Amino acid sequence: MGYTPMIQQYLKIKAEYQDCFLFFRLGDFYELFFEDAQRAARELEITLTSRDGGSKDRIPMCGVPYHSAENYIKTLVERGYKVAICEQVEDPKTAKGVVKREVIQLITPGTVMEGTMLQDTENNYLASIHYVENDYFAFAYTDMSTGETSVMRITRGWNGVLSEIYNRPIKEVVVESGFNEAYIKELQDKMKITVSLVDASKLSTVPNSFLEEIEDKALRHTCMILYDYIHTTQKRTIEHLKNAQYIELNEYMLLDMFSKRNLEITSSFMRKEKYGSLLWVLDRTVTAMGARKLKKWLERPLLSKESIESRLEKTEGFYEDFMQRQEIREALQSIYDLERLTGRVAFGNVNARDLIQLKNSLQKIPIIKQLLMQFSKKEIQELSKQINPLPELLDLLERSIMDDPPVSITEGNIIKSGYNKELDTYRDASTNGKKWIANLEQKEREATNIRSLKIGFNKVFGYYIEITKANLHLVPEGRYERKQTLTNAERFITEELKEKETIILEAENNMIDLEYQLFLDIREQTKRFIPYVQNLASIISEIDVLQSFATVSEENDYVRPTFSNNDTLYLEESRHPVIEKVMDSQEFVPNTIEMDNKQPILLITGPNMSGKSTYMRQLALTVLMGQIGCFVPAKKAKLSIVDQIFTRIGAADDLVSGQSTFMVEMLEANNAISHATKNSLILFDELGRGTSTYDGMALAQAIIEHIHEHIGCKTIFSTHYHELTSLEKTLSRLKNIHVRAEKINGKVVFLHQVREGAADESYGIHVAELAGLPEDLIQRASIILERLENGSSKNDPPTETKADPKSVEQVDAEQLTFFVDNKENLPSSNQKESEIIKTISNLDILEMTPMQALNCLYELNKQAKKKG
Amino acid sequence: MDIMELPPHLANKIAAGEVVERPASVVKELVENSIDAGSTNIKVEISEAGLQSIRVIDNGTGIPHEQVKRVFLRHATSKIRSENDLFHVRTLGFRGEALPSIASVSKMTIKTSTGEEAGITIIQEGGSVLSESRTDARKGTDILVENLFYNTPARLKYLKTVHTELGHITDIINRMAFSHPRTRFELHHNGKKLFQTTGKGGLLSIASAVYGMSVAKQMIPIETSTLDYKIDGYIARPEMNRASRGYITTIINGRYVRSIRIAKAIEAGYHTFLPIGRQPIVILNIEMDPFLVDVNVHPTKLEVRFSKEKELLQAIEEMIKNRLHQEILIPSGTEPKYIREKSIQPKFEFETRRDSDRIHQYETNSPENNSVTNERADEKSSSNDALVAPPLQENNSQMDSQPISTVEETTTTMTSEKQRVPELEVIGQHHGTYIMAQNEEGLYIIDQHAAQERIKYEFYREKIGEVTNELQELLVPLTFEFTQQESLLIEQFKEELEQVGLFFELFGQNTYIVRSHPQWFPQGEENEMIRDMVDQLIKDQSINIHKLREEAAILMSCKRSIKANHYLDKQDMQVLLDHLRDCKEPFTCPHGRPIIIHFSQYEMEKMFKRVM
Repeated sequence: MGYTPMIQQYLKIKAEYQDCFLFFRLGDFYELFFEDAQRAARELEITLTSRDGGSKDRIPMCGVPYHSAENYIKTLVERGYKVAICEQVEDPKTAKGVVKREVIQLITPGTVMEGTMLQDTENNYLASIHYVENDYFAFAYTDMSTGETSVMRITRGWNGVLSEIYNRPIKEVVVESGFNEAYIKELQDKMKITVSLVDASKLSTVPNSFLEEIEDKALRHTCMILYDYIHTTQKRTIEHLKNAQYIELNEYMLLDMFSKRNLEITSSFMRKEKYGSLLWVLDRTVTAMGARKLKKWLERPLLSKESIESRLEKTEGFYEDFMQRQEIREALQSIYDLERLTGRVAFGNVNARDLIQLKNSLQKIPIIKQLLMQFSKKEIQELSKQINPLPELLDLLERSIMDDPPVSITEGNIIKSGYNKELDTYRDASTNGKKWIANLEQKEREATNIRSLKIGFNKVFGYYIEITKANLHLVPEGRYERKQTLTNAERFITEELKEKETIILEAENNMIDLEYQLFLDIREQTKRFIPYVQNLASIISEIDVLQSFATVSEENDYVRPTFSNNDTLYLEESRHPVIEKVMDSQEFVPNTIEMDNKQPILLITGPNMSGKSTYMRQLALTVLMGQIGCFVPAKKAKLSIVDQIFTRIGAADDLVSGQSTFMVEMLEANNAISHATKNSLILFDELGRGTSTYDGMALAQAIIEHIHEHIGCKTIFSTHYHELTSLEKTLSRLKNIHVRAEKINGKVVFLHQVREGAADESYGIHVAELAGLPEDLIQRASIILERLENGSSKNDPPTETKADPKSVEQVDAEQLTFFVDNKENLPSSNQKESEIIKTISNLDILEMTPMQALNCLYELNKQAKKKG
Repeated sequence: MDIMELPPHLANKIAAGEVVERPASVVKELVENSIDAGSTNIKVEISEAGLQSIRVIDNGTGIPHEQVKRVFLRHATSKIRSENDLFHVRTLGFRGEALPSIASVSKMTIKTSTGEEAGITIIQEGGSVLSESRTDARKGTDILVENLFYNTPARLKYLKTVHTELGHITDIINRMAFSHPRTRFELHHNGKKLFQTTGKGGLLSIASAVYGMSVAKQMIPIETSTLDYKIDGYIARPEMNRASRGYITTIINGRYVRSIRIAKAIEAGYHTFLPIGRQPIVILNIEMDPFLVDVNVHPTKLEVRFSKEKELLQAIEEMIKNRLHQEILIPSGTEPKYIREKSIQPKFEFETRRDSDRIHQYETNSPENNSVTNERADEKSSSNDALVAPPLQENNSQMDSQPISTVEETTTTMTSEKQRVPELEVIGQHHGTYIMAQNEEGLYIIDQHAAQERIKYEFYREKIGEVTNELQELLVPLTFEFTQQESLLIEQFKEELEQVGLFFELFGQNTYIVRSHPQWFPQGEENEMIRDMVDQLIKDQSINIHKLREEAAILMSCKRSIKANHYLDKQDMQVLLDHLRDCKEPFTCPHGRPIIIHFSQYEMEKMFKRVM
């Protein structure tokens, strides 16, 4: 090869870290070579240079200074890359040959610990997926910065895994080598998540405590993969990870990823940002911990009536005692991110300022504890009793750390006086020494009679006595030793001065060393309290979320929901929580929603743009809000607990994965039908829209019937197939409702009110008119419509002019019954029937154009309906 | 020019002159309509203090689409039908003037629906309808008023700054919020939310929204009722005071009104608790049979007249006075605690001489008293029995007249456990001005001058209360010069002045001479006293003998009390404190300034950061 030893060393190390950017420490810089350099230069927009590496060609190279490396690393990690930090592990001066180098840490998107690379209000997860069998996956995710780990079983196959990942801030996934390639690709391309591989045969040992609460073998395995990866990247023991928590998914409301997206729970559909989502409405938290907890509660709505009521009690307590709530809010402002603080303490990168933040937070805890006792609700007072203000830790921090310490822990000025005797001695020595030197000036002035004698200090020479040239003749012999000459003066030292200086410098050095040691010791002591601080953080964040619920409930006029035992759902004057806030000058029209066991299925018809999907969405969001323990936007609310919400709203073509609108619709429908239980909620908006009329209507009816017969859960379908309203007669538990629109003076007015019964007409043409289609086009459409309506009974579908030939062929006997009104089941003369059958059998289908076929069908239909 | 009936839009404009003075008037009229429509949720959006736009959105009954145009007709209203209705008016609006007036001087857009049918939007300008269209069926009314006063430039010019006009509007909304606590109000200005009530909380949460939480924490609930009136509300502790009367809110049958007489009755209730010239913060809600009140006095319906006024005023004054007595009015050195919205009233069967009951414990002459002593000693948590002040000779008469059994103490509010002024042990004196004292409850600082003022004041008040009509002749008659206005007053009230004992004789142009004065005038202060009395006359347009005596007592007490920088020895101070405890109102000097400040043990520790 001919490479220099250093480059050889580089290549050897690089071989082990193929999938990372290798930051290779050279003096004061981190350098990257070869491909790394080229890619990094592009990503970081730094200059690409080259260097002679002993081989024929020069080696591509780029680098960043050590001091500002963090920013660059941050950029790379944010973009999903991994960075390996390779340091010089021996003193270059004493090294023989190439300085020894080792990778001391991997910084990956899922394992960042640096504050600057983390978002306050969001967790930062590393997940691991382990395929067990059939549709069963074991799934775990951990946030290194806060120490929490959750493990669960996913039984709905890969889609189930994707649903768990969707909308959760998972930045990196670890899988075993051999994991399904297609899945990996989907994670990388579609969900933009970094994927790392782990060799499952060589897993490092996991501390027992971590896995203590997990029994299942597959789940344990997943956790081990996770832990192993963490261990590999951090190259040190991770002490602050709490025991992995098992989450039983059946204990929480399940939302698939379609619903999460369609309902815009944590991010808006269009712009994928917080504004316009339910989270945006509900988030009035004051602490970062609270913000993260709110998100978690939104992701896991509760199913047990007891726990929901418990939360609602507390929310109500915070709602009523508004003055105390305001005080709690103010007190919470001073509480720092305790969760992330403990992470840093455990991890070892906490500094004195962090500890001061911890101290300041702990000082506020007794106030909060006391304030909570001022609330009237017992449940809130209970919270107060659970708070342990950790007086010993507070005392330690108050005694030991100075109030305004520097960021660095190696520059001293961290430890308070009075904490450590030895340190105090050094400080005294330093202070006294300096005082002595200050006094010396006066002494020497008197001794030498030189009025202008000065004592000064600089970093190069230390302390000196400065005497102007004019006074030189007065300098006493022997005692003064000349040190430095300047234009106008000379600088001297004396024995005494030198001695004192040495003492001071020594003391200062010792101080710095000792302070560093003391700090490490304090950090160790603080570590013992980590579980307690984490507990405290958990309670504080809960309080923060509850006060947030109370605050928004007050501001937005929400009401406390009650939960029925008999599946009744009744929302009086329900509103959409996000839309009513976002609507600028318009005012939201509230609507009552009512569903019970007798009629759990609602079929809603009416013109487009009239509020059908809003109606459905507000129901889902209200149910969700109630089940996380918040008040809801209505005048009165009786809810029934929902275990899953399935939605099919919106018309997004899933262009990325290449699926058409209709395909997505069918997937979503299938998801609902396969998994819905009697306690679920299904919302289908414009079912059958994505395909031709006949297919669509047929499928829509079939799906409705299936749900009616086999599932029976609360469902709202909206459709533009007006024909489907006749289903009310055959399906006893289906009720028609419609959005009101009226034609006044020839114009259509949308009332935005929902009423019982089917809509009168389709109003499609009027909506087209509103949309601004040309006048003559509208008139033509009206004529055609009139002709169609007058030519046949109202319930016939308008003849399509662009029929898909295939669908016509598929018209079979079953579908014919579709179009004939059941009521008019004429006591048919056999003659008529046989005539029709004869006509059909005489059709030469292969020679017909689609248009002809349709016309024929039209005639047949007319014939069949004729009386006699 | 012939006499012709004015065309409607012109008549409206003129009427508008009365009803629509400024944007705030528009807001008031619109909001009152919303309230009368039964709204539970009223949102007010203002732009440029109302000059650009005013929008009121409610969720009331709405107006059927065929009737909407009638709102622009004068004297058209849904609120009264017959004469009889007029005497039993329960709604805020009834004249049928507001909307046509406003419409005539602005561009108005009304969108309304009853919820049963499609709504309607009508746009009109200066009285003529510009357009109408049907719209959604949201129940309620949404009125947008733009370009107010566009056709009356003079009125437009008259308006004050944005700041002032906004102040008026905020005032209106605040009042509405107080008078309708079950309705949710929101006020936005230029896109920013200024104010909001929930409609679910009580008066206290509204007070918090209007005045801020620090004031709300200082509010004390009050209530009383007579045969005809039912009164409840909140009064702020006297240390929360303001310069103007604007912080007194009076609501009669759900309508905000302005009544100077009621304000004065309130002030009288706060007598000597407030510094001179300062006004309290008070919310009073008064309910009565509508027959007893006449609202048809002034177009803006702010002024009303009562049938049984004296009874009402007396009830108010007494209620406030009694309540303030019950409160311990030592301001804490740091923050006070807050009360809950519907806290239970302490059931004090309370005589104002409670402090004298405590004196019982020092009297050991009767076994009956002894048993009381033991009881009371057990109940008490604060004072240190070992420190017994020398028995007091004054006020002995009162002690015997108190049957002990009438004194009950309940501990439902947070401050009721304390006695009025507890026993204190003198520690020392600070700068010859303040006495430092202590007991188990903490540290007390007493302004010795203020304390003595109070002691002397009560002494003199009693003395002066002894009414004799004897006159004292002046050795040297006093002459006074007055302004024209003052002279007129003196002439007008000559009789009253004579009743009081002052005989003014004309002695030249606007000059009067006085040769004698009432016996009770403090010596040496005659000149001032007479001046004061005349001043009072001018201010109040009446002479109140009690008040006069009051002022005299105050004057004398002030002049004769120990001043600041007057060093006392321990015994003197202890005696002073004991005298203070005997006073009826030991917490403020006659001018309303505090006498005693208390730092509780907890507050001390907090200040020294021993606790957090």
